Parts: sequence; structure tokens; C-alpha cells
Amino acid sequence: MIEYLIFAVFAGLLLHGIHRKAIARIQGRPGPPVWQEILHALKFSFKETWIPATASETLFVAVVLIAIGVWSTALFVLLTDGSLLLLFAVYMLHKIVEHGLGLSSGSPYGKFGAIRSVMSAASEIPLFATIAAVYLVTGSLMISDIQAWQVAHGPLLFTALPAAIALYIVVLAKMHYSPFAVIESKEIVSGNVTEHFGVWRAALDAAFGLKTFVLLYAFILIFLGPMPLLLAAAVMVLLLLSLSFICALTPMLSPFDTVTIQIGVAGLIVVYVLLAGVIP
Amino acid sequence: MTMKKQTAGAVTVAAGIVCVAASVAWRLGLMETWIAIVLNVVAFPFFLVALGLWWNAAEKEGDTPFIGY
Repeated sequence: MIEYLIFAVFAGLLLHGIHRKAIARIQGRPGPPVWQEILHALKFSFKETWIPATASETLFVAVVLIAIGVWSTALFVLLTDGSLLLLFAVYMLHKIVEHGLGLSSGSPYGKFGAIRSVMSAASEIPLFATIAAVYLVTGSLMISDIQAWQVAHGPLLFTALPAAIALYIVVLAKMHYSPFAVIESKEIVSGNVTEHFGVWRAALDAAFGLKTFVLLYAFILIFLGPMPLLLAAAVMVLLLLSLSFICALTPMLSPFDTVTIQIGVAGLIVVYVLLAGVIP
Repeated sequence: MTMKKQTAGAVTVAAGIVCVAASVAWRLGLMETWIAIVLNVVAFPFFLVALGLWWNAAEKEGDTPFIGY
């Protein structure tokens, strides 16, 4: 069981490396090697580590532990074919991590990141719409039932395309260098993680690697159905590359625009859910 | 706040043992899946952070800082 966690951490960091490499190549730069993010996490773990004098000590450390715990839970929900509701409850907890990271540090940059994280809570609205649409089509929120439905009827991607697009935008919002990644935008240094350096940053990198792995794998399980591990890995990379293209070619949006777009997407999904499931 | 190398090492070993023991017990069918998951979810973050703090912690006192001419 621990082996799944370790594998997912390294796979997630490797996916981050591929993401950076793809963005660089699209932008005409050589970019770092794909294993750079693994080296990056290791490098941070060897850096001198302490807690800033302005920080709330308990929260500063606890939020790092919570980040790893939250995404470890999410991984096991996926692996045990658990409930979609549980998976997205975990996703909600990640918001607490984002707020906590920024607010615990005492840094104005961290606090700006945390405030932007509150604003970008709009990114969860397409998530609710996705869950509603998946339930209306498959009649269940258990991942095992959703997969069984797809074995019988084909991938949900084709049956509930708008819901898949909404979840795709949710995943995009959580990627590094995403147009929606306003909480770590460069004008506020590193946003809510500015003051988390050394071992804290290495642990956060591991947690965020887990997060990327879980979100991409969840998209595959929910919208493409069960598939062999190697094929799933290949599809995850393809999905990631499509996200990298968007990240490479789209500038960082303003916080207000990210909220507008995400609420707009959620609105479209609500119309879709009404048309598909409620009105008939 | 700094954690002593010995303390960090002890936390790493304890959390690592919990993770590995729960995983092995689950593989052998001696433990329910949800119990093994809970133990791993709780212990893994401590293992990861304490491991970093352990190999990061200095074994001796730091240099006396430069305090000016």
C-alpha cells in the first residue's frame, strides 16, 4: 500500500517534469530534463529549513502534513473505486491547504495567494456540475458503478461531453503555469507557498505531485473507463500534454477573469444538466 | 523551531514502520483495507516530512554568526 503512495509521488513529479518540458518546447526553449521536478524536490529537502518568525508555527507545519494526507486519501479513494463524492470532498479540503499555506506564513505575498485562493473557489463550481451530470447519466456516484456503466455503454466522454470539459477545466485550474493558477502567479512571488522553503517545499512538491497524478487518473477513470495500467499511463501523458499546450499558449488570467470563466463554464453545465436530465 | 536529528530520525523510523507494517499486514490479509489505508494516510506525511528533516538536520552546532567589526 505504501508502494502505491511512493509510486504516485514519483509518477506525479515526473508528470510535472513532462509538463515543464512540453511548455518549454512549445515556447521554443529547450527546457529542463523531464526528471527535473524529482531532482527539484530532492534539492529542496537538502536545503536549510526553519519556520519564519512571523509564521504561525503549528499551522505552518500542519498544513504541509495535511496536504500530503489529503492527496494520499484521494489516491486510495480512486484505487478502491470509492465514491466520487468522497474524492471531491478531498478536493475541497485542498482549498483549506491553499488558504492555510498562505495565511500561516505571515508573509504579505503568502496572504495575497491565500486571498486569491478564496476567490478561485469558483473553480469548484464546475466540479459540482460535473458530479451532478455524471450522476444523472450513470445513476451512481461510485467509481466502480461508473466504470461498469462505461463497460456497458462506452466512455462517458462521448455521452456527457460537457461534464468532461468542466472536469478538464478543473484539472487545468490546478496545474502549474495554468491560466487559472493565480494563487502562485509571479507578481506575488510564489503566492501562498512563498514562505514554505526547504523540507516544507519538498513535501509540498510531493503532495502536489500526488495531486496531479490523482486528478489525471480520476479524469481517465470517470470519463474513459477502466483500462490496463500502461494504457492509462499513456493516456495520462497525452491528457497532460493537451493541458501543457493550453498552459504554454495562454497568458495568466486576472483573478476576476478566472472567476468569470469558471462560473461561465459551470453555468453552461447547469443548462446541460437541465436539458439532459431534468426537463425530459 | 528546529527538530533534533535524533528526534527526526525516530519519527521517520516509527512512521515508516507503521506504513510498511500496515501494507504488509494488508497484503497478507491480516488487516482490513480501510484500516491499512487510514494508517498509511496518517503515517505517510509524517514519514515524508521527518525523513527530510532528518537528513537535513545538522549533527553539530552551527558556526558562530558574524556579528560585525
